[in-house]
Amino acid sequence: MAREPINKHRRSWWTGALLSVAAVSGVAMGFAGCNSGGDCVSTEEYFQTEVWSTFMSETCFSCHNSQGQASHTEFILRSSDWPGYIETNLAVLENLARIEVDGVPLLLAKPTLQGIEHGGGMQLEPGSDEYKALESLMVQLEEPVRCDSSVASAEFFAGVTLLNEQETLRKASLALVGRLPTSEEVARVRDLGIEALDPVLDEMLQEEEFYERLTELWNDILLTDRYLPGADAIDLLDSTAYPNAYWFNELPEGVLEEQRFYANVGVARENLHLIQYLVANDLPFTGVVTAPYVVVNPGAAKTYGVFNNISWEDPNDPWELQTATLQASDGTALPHAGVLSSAMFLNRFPTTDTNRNRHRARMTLLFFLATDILRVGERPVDSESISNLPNPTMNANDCKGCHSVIDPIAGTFQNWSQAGTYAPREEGWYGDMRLPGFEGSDLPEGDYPTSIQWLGEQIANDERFALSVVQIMYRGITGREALVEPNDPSMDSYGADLVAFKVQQQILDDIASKFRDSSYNLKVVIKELVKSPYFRAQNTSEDSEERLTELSKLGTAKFLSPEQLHRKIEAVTGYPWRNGVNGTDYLLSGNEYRIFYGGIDSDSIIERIDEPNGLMANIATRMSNEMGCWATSRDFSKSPADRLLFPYVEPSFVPEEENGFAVPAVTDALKANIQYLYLHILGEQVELNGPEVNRAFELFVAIWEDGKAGLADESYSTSLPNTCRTTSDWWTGEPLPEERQIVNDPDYTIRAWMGVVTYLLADYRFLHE
Amino acid sequence: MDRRKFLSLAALAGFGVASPVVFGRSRRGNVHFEPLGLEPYAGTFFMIIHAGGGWDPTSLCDPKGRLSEDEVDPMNQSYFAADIEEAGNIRYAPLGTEENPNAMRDFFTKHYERLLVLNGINMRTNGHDGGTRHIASGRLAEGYPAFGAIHSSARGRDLPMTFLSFGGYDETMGLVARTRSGNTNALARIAYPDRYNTDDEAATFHSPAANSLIKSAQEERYNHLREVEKLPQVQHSLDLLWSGRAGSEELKKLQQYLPELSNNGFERQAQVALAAYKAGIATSVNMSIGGYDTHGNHDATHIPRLLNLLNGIDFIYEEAQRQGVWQNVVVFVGSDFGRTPGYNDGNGKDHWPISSAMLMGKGIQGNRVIGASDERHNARKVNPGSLAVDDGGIFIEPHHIHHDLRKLAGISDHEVSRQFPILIPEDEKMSLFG
Repeated sequence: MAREPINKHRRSWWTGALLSVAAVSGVAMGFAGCNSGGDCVSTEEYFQTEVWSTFMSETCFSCHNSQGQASHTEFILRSSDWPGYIETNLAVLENLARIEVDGVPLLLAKPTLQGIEHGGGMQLEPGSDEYKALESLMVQLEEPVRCDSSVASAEFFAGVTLLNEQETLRKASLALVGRLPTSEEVARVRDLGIEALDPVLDEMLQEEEFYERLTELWNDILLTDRYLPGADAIDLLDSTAYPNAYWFNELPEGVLEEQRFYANVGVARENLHLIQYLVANDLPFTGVVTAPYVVVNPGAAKTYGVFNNISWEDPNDPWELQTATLQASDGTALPHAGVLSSAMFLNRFPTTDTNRNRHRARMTLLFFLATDILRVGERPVDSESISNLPNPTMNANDCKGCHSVIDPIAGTFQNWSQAGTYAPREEGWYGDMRLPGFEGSDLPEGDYPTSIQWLGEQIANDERFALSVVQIMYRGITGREALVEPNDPSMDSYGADLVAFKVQQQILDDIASKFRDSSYNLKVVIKELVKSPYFRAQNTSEDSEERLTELSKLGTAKFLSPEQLHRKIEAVTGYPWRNGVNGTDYLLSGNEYRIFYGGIDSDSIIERIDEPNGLMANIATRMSNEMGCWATSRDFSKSPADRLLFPYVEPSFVPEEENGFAVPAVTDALKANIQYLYLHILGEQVELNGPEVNRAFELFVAIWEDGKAGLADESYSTSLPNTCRTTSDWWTGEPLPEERQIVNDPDYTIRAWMGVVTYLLADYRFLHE
Repeated sequence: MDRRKFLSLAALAGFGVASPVVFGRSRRGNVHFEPLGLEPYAGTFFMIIHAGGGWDPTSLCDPKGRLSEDEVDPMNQSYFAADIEEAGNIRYAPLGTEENPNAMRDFFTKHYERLLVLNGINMRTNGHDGGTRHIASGRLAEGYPAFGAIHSSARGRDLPMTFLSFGGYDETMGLVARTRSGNTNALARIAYPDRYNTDDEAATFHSPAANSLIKSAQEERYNHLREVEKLPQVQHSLDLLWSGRAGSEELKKLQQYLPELSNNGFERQAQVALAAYKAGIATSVNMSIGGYDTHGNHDATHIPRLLNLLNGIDFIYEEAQRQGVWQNVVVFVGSDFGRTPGYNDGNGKDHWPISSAMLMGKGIQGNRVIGASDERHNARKVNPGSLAVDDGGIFIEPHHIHHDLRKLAGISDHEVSRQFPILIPEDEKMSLFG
């Protein structure tokens, strides 16, 4: 399928970059709303590029920040480390723009000392470029300019080739449900435009495999799979509140281990199960921080002592999920607030007597408010300014900027102990910390016993919640972190990085907006991300260095995680990479290759490696060899209609007959099968007589010729290596009829096909998505 | 029950449902070495150790003891200032364990001649992420790779385990692939991906001729994709995969040098790293030992951690000597930052931006202490020329250390270093390592 770039024409340089160039060269913009190229420039854009980046981030921000010398004034700016800082700062300016001194806006009068004092003295020369830019902004703020963001986006992606509908569907299907799309699903999207994917994706998002993927994706954030081994999760629970937590210990050996496993998984994954429950039932995803219940499977329900309170559809199904309200040790109902009140979350991100829930507050900001408070706090710290003040978190300028944000949130966790149990403090919250609250609002007095629920509601109502979820899903689906605004203009790539960031920010903001409009249906986010260029970008016709720098983070080049590769192997070959049907999955087991292949253990190894090193390359090579060996003979043991790999050929199909001549029909069949394998294994549509098919065909023929010679001089055996033989059904262990067994390879064709399959399974496009 | 779901979850949970197949008789038996396709690395091996969480140098190499029993808000509760000991020119805290009360004395008296201590380092942050990044990259802000990544990229970009990382800040900025070790028992199968029996060189999935043909086809395919794929990210990924494969033969040598592995996690990291270096396939390693973020009950939890760290450093020295490579090893030990002078209400110590570092090995002139802090652990300035404490001088900061680390590694002018420059005015340059 031919793929067309979005726009074949060379795009104009993006507006932001133009503005930056203008600023650098000292050319003030002639008129608000357009740049010299006639492109729309929004007021927000103008502020960022002409005012903020040019001087305000240095000249004004150094004092006018929450911990600076001017922290007592109304003019408080936020640094670029805060999500939405441009909007926040612009709102501050908008409020102050209405105040004038003798007819001059206060914001112009102060830094130029026109009729009013300024603690920071003269900062701007009247008539300077900076002054004119600020003056122009003041005018614009009376009637802010808004632009169609899709124009900038289209220009950015001009010359970028996207996956077409079928290709996008294949990638999405593998990414979301770990299988190839059916021919019927492909037919429903072929050439019908990218929006045609929605109904097919809607169906996929109901499959059980999707919820496994969703769990995996969110565990990368919450990391609670750390508690999966043994009874690690149950061990964390309050034994007073849950006296029958170890109910399975009464069971006979054998059953005990299995039931302990289910109960422990149910507890360890209660937050991941909550996420599953919200999404499966199309409930607002804000429930992740507001749900007044916990989600349990039967095993966890027994551990929590609520099994009999629940109407189970099938109490013997260990994976059934239902909601429940748990009780504290005094019998009162717990004030659940989704993840925030979960013992798993509270233990995974623990606190101490002196940390006082700040760690929990920090992670809450990071996960649900798109705010990395440590990044915000990354600036030079003066040790003397800390040591000379009592209670630095309240009083030291270097500390209070961050602590004024995290400490009130920490206070809302006050009813939860270090062990994660509900245990309101008899002595109340610490008097030497800020009052519990959120973003400047104090926790209402009547809400103290349920403070965590109050916090959950504040988060759910915060604009950043939607963006935070979109960023997490972006990472999960594209395998890449959302871009962070560059903050070092001295870097060569600063301009290009800024352009890339702003375009992505706009697209993610748009998706966040749709997320809100859908009552926080997470499926909307997933579908929008799949249809976005960040999931579909495949190639580019651009060749200038600056454009390629801008596009440097694009591309279907994500090295698959061990879990993703595991699923893809089975989807393509029909078999998992596992040493026996009840054996160990090589890519899932921490004792095998999961950690080597860049996976995590949710404990000490919590960051994935997504670029292959020598070990990972070797693991991929081993996989291609082993699966090439196993899957080839297993596939040939089936009838052609049931085969996944070799529907068009038989082991008896040899490239040349005894007389040395090729049989055209056989050659055609061999090539047709190779063409099919390219599509099936790599998702790549190639020409029957094109270079790709020919390369693989030549490989097949070369191995076959070598094998034929080896058979003739008896240096090769007519039998396959033991490990590559198929004598029984792999899944059931049932012996196959003799005529279907694949033990011998008298024509050396099976080994030649093994070589082709190995070649394709080791390919870049199989190992990446 | 969904069998597949059960199995995958069971694997994550470590819930054994079947024993894995054992490949071969012995990890090190009957090893056949293929000729190396890449030049084995034999230059300086940098071992960067991170004490995660923010250590307390005042309980280690920048000792500040309690002045008296009656002192209000003492710097330390576990020893008196009068009891501080010295080994050569290095002062250290007189601490140990119940079993070995002289543990620090044992370490410093054994190693002081090769040990360089940098005190009073101004980390300029008390945030974990920033401090961890600052000490490992020389830059507080984001955007720079770890030193190990820069060194590995400059000295052995294509080696299969060139930059080993067991933690700490290990950002590579795409310069080089990181390698993380898992269960080393699986290494034999990884080292011999062509064999179904790792101990038998004839037990291959494909014939040698077929293997060679497959590799040729893969090379053609790589060249084709490199030609048609234009997005930088795709090209980068193609190159990484290809360079990873290029070093696949060298992994076999690792098998030769791996000893029986220790049960101690840190020592195991050191064994794998030194064996990889000995095999010529590693150029740098990030090692990590955690548990230093002791906001509560500081002395009881922090001091044993410091002793573990010293034991680990000593283990590296002994193992490197045993492998015969110590003469090429540089060990650099640092942390996120230091800990507050005095104790909080929970007998813990909070974050403090002043820290220390310790170095030893090739090119490091030992038995020296550079930099200092005052009695409340505020950093003192030093004269960049004489390196003496001088109130008219400058603070030692991580970028000074990294500037000299690059010089020590001989990569100051390398293209990779220039890509991430550390710019220091001429009159602020120091010669920290001798």
